[in-house]
Amino acid sequence: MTETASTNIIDVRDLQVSFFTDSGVVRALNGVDFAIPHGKAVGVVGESGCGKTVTSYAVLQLLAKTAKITQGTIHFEKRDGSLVDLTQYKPDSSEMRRIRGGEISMIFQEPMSSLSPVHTVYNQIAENLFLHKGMNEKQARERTVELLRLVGISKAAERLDEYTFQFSGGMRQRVMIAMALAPEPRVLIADEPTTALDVTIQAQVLKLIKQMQEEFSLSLMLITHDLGVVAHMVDQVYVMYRGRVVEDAPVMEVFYNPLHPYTRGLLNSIPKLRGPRGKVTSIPGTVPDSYNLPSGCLFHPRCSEFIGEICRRDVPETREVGPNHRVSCFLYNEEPAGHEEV
Amino acid sequence: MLQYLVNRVLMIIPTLIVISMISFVIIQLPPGDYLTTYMTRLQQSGYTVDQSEIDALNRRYGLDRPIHVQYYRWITGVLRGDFGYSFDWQRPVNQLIWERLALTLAVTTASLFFSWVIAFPIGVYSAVKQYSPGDYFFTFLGFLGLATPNFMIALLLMYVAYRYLGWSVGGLFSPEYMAADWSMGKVIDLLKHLWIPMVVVGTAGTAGLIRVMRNNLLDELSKPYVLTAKSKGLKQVYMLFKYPVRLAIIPFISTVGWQLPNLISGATIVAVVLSLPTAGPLLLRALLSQDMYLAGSFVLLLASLTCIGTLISDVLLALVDPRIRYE
Repeated sequence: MTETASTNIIDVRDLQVSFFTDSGVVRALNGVDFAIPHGKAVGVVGESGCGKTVTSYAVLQLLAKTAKITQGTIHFEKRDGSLVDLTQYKPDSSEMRRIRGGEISMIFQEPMSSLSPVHTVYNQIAENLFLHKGMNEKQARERTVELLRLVGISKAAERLDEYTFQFSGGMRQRVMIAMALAPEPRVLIADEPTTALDVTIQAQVLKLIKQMQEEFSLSLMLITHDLGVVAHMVDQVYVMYRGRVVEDAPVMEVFYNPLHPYTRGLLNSIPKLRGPRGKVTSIPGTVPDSYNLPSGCLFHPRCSEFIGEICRRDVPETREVGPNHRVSCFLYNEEPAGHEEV
Repeated sequence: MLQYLVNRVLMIIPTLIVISMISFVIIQLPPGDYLTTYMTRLQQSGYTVDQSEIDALNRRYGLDRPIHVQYYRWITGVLRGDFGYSFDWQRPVNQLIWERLALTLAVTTASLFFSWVIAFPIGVYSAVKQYSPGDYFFTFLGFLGLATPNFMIALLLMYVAYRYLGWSVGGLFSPEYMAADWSMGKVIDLLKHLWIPMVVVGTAGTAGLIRVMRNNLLDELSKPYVLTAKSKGLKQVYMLFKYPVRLAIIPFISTVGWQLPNLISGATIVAVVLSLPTAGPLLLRALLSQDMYLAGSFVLLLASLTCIGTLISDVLLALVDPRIRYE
């Protein structure tokens, strides 16, 4: 399966992560497969607690002390072309630290609290330039101004030495993006980058991320709970439910030909502007309790297309049902669409 | 920043005026005055006191005047640098207090320094290695220090130092330097004696400060900016000190404000036990004998020190936290 890694910069196979807490073991990821092709954007969508963020933290080895990768591989193609399995590195090893930040950057959810309030913008951005680009003070200053201009901060040269609390929410997220771009990474992971922002600002920030992705041919992983956000942003969408990818497909396929009942549920819960007015439906029930996962297909207790005993008993396999379209649901078990080329 | 500083300094003035009034009134509150105490003492030792003699003394010291007149005479004197006259010691207050205050300040500063140097690394360690055996050990030790009365530790340390190390303990000077003028030898002798009060007075504060530092840092460690810092690929220890520790010391610094007065008033019992020539015991004696100008001057000066301590901590806070500076 690792042969695909030549087209993918990141290739995650059967990733399992568990949290070992005092009250028991929580299986946060139950075998996640996903890949980011070079220079492409993928979206990871799902409800809170489905494991989107854990997946991204696992890639960067940022998991909490209580969490462990229990199985699976995370293949990453380094700048020099060599292929490494990130799960083999210790989180604080120098190899991992060179990749984290240097090759894979991350943008976080809350620009208010994700930046230090007592360090200047310059201080926080330049740190990346010293660490990963080996710049000196003068070069770093010039580069920081460039970066701030790039992300659309006016009077960048003057605002350099300001503190983040002197910036508005949207501007802080721009600072965050500038900071993530500073080491010239090849992969950008954005974890709900617009959730904490005003709606008008959200669009601007998303546009900026998209623009940066295209300009620097970055590979982007966009994590969101909002299917609407991914529509114009990504090429491939991964829909996650309870620590598994239940469906992944090219973005238009997800909207026009959703197959998994959960994906359909997510789509139906978006209010529509055009077409007949209908009620916005929600998916009944809640994400199952992490300590008592249901048997068989994890979605079966909430599924509107439950087909019987098999859903309760067996875990559905992931099947390729179209070009780049995979789904794991017994509804599509009958007729596998031939054995596709890999 | 300058504006902030000026404001803070100006605010001290009304505070001190009010404190001087309150302290003067409080000292006058117990029934009688120095002369009644003095008379009682004389009568107890068998003297008969002539009423005219008392009246003469009363007039001489102005004790027959109403309280606001007495206050006015005292405070205008203070502004000219004359703190009044100690009845008990039969000497001007000025001759009595300055050396004691300086020594108090020396003991206090040393203790504060001691508790910071100890508490800071232990607090950081305890937070980073939360629930580790080391954390439990220091937590235990910290609570032990918090719960043990200071004078107990003082007695214990004195015993150990005298019995096993053969050092002259108690006081801040060896007998040969006691009355001597200041010299290099005297300073070294002072340093030799300073450590016991430093440890004793510092211990209680240290235990509290460890908890403060530990909790602050635990709070900071769970904040999102720590994750951002980690995602940059910084070295663990560098990341720890540049970000969460840097923010965790902010409330830690503000503790200086309440540590200073704590150390001065809290040190009295220890000073009595260790017979330190600091402000505490002298103030205690002055209060007992209603030696009002001496007591009043002490209270006023200690209050000023407290104000200065608060000012220092505010300035430090503004220096480390731009959010305060830019308000």
